[in-house]
Amino acid sequence: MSSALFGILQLDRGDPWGYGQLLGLAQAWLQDAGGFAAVGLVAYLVYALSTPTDKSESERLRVPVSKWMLTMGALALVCYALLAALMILNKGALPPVPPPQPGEAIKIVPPVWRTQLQPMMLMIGGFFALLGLCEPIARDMWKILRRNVSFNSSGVRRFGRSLDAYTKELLNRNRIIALGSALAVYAVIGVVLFVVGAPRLTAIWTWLLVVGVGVFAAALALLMLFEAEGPIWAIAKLSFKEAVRSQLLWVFLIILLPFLFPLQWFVQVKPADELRATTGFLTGVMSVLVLFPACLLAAFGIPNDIKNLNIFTVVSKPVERFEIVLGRFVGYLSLMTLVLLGLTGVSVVLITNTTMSEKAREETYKARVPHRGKLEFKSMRAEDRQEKRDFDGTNVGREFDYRRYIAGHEKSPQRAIWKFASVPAGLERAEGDRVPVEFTFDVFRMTKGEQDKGVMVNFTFVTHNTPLQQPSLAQGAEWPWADPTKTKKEQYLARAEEYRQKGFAIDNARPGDPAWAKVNELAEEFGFYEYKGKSVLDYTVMGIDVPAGLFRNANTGTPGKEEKEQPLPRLSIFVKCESEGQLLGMAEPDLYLLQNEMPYALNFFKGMVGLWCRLCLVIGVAVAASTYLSGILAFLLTCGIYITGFFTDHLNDIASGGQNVGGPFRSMSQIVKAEQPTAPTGDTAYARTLLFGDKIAAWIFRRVQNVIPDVDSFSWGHFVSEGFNINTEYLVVNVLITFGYLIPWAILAYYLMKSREVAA
Amino acid sequence: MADDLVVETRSLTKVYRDFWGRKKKTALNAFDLKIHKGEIFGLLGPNGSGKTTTIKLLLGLLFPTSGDAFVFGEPAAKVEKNERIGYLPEESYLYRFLNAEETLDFYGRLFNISPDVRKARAAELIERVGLGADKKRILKEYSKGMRQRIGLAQALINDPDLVILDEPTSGLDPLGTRWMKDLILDLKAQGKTVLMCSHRLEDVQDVCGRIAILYNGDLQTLGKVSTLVEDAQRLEVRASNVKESPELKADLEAVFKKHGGSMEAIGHPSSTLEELFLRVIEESRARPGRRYLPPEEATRSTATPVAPPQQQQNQNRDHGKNNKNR
Repeated sequence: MSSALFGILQLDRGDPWGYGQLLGLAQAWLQDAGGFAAVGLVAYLVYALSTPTDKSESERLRVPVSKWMLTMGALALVCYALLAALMILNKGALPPVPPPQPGEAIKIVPPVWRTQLQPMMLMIGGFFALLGLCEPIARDMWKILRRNVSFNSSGVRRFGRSLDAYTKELLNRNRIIALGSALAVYAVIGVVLFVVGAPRLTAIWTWLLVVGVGVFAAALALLMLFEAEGPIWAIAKLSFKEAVRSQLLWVFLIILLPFLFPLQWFVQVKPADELRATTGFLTGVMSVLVLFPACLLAAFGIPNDIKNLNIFTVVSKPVERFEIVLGRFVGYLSLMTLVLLGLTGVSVVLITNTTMSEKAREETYKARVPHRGKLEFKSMRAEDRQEKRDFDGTNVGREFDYRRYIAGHEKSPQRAIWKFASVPAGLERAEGDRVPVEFTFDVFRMTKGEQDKGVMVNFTFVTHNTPLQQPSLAQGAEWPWADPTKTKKEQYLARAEEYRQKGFAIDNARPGDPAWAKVNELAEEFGFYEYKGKSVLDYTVMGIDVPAGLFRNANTGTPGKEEKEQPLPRLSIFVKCESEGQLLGMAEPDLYLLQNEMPYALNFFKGMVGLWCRLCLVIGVAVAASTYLSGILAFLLTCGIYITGFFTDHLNDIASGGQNVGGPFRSMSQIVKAEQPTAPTGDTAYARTLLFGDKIAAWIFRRVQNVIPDVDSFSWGHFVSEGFNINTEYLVVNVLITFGYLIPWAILAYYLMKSREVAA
Repeated sequence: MADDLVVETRSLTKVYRDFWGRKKKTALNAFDLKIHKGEIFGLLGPNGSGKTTTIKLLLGLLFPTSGDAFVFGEPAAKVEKNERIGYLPEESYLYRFLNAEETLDFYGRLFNISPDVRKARAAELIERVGLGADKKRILKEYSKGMRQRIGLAQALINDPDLVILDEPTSGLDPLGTRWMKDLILDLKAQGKTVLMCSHRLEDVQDVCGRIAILYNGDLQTLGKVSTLVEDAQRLEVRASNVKESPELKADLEAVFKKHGGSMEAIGHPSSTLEELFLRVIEESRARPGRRYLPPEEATRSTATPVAPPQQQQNQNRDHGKNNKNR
């Protein structure tokens, strides 16, 4: 198992999305979902208008075409026509995205709100199309809502009544005997553990009891919710019972059981990786063994109803077709949520109560809340280095490596600089007047170093009040203070010397030392702190403490401007490698200010929200697909969409026109003609035809891409296994994205189910 | 639409097509039908004649190719009309993992019936269909007849005004069949309208007021059962306490000849097999241990023999009269 590669993992996906992306996401959703809605609206209108409804009132009801739909369709058409005109005139387009360097992957740009005419037209057109297509849904949903949701106190009364009924039903003689016996056996086990004196097992016993009671209470609450009036809840409860009474779910849970235990119980794992390996393995196995039965249940629910003709007795009742779809979705999702809750609880209990190495505890048994900066690599000016380009880190030729490197030497001017535009106010009064800074670097050795000995690294922290200046050739390796009076540094050195003479060991001061207060004073006054000679090991999470005074200084005053008229960052961290002959590799997420540390268990639960989102995706797609397809086809389609979702990067590459590998037509031509992929295409009619074909293929792939969810973006196991907090913003945005993805599927399911002759 | 009109179809047509839209079969062709409140209406026809298709069109399980279907004045495509309909499919297509109570609770909830009413009505229906002792067993363990009974209970959970029964006696033993027919008549007595289709013509004849006969999707005939089955060209005379003899035959021939007709047959009327079966079962219940013995053994044995044929006929006649009165 490799060591901490969190930086790489995160770079793969880019920065986690937050509320800042919501507007951009909404715009992108309206464009994509609206595009599909426009196609759907056109198809529906063509079908409805070609259906002879003049002599049949039933047909008029079945395929209604309202003025609203026609108006919205016309408005959408106008918008798309305007968009086409803008495209032809080449007006209001998005600024062109520079093509990636050869060999580099295409980066997914975080969604932002675009104000150019073309994206706005696309968005407005999509909005109108959605309004048109959703009109019958909105009408039916209003009916459904009134039937299934109580807007008055009757809901509370019903809940109270169902609580009463459940209590009476649950407390029948047989159940009391069964439950009492089970609890008695469990109590005996607990007593035995207590008497034998196994505190860890006793803790596991206690926590498992807590989890059991919690899941039982949640299940009870859920079932009582299902007692609310309305067909959706009735069908949800039916689906719930169906799944519980079928053996499928239990078979999968029994298979899953051994995997819930810590991995080191079964295989040997490096001490530092014990928790990382267990968490990663568990989240992976749990994904498969929870999603698979969920997909099976959801895909076969409605088709089995149709096959066994149970649907006759449901559709012949006053039930809207869409209520069946919603009921199935709610039922399966509720059950699988309970299963997931229980499994997560049991896993956390077992993991947290198992002995783990100190190293693992230190590295990953936590949920760090990092504050990240932007990374830049700098050295002397290009002209001083007799180069055309500024230094931007050295590429050591490691394919697939995201890190850039700085050369190690006492007199090396090369620096990796993390710039923090903002500094959280909470860090100014951090506990112990210290702020931890953590990092994981890659050491690339040019000469054989000593075993288990790191490379020497200096860290320099400066605020916007004390910026450093890029050194010239004459100035050498050291980055001077950008102080026109040149007195500030002298004052700093004089003050430091004064403290030293007073007996404060400020050079090696650590939090808790008497000198730490003086270090803080210096940092607060001058906005400067230096940590020299940190021994850094390869791919190991390490950290240093920084005086909180530095952050008080950073948040004082208004930052000035840099050379390129950019505002100065409030805080900059300069990293220098001192060991000669070694290269130190870094990527942006490799260093961060540790804002806070949250409990591991809570983070594990948050990580499972990602799995829950995937559960929603799988159940939603499977139920929607099953409204038209047979069970097995719906299952295969859902699996296909889900698995393809792991390859969104590749899809993105193809959808962008195959900039790295060429499109399908060009590739096919190269294969047939046995040409090298890098061979120039030339400017012949043949080449132009191929390129045109590739453009069309790319357009089709882009549409396909919209149907495929980015499954990886919901896989948050690596956050948990690497000990990083999953922030609430990220969580909320992803839950919104999940439901945003499911809405078009719901619209599709509505129309498919409504138009289906269940008895045909 | 008249106030008492419960079901109306106007040129109702259903054409089944394949995936490519090619015509496979015309299941129903321009079918016009009107069923009035309080009627028991029977749809008859051989397999594939369009009976079940008609029912499915009325329930909205299928969409008409052309024409219209109305139930309680509402188009069949509207789900709201289902509030007043109870439907028993040909086979009892219920969820086999639920027990009888859960089944009725589930279907009751689809009608948004309040919990108290639902519970009371489910308990009453379970007793009514004779499944009180088996209400906690899951439907998978039920026999076909029991499933049909619980199916009927679910069809009545909403106290419907129109009950649609597709082959209601299918899979039922003669006792069950009799029970079902009595129940249908009972529904009529409560003022409910019943639309049923069946292959078992004697069942239809026993309970239905009007029938329609379909063949290959086309309506062949429609009218009152009594009118349709009446043979106006022939006359039936029944008499009791008269022994068959050549003199009687000659006298009757003379009477018929005098009135311009001729006698076709003279003999003892026979009862239906169903009536015989019901009577035998009734007697068996009344006298446990009773068993059939061949005639020669019966004379030797002290065991109670079956009733002599003459007595059977008399009883059957009475039963037949009762049926007709209904």
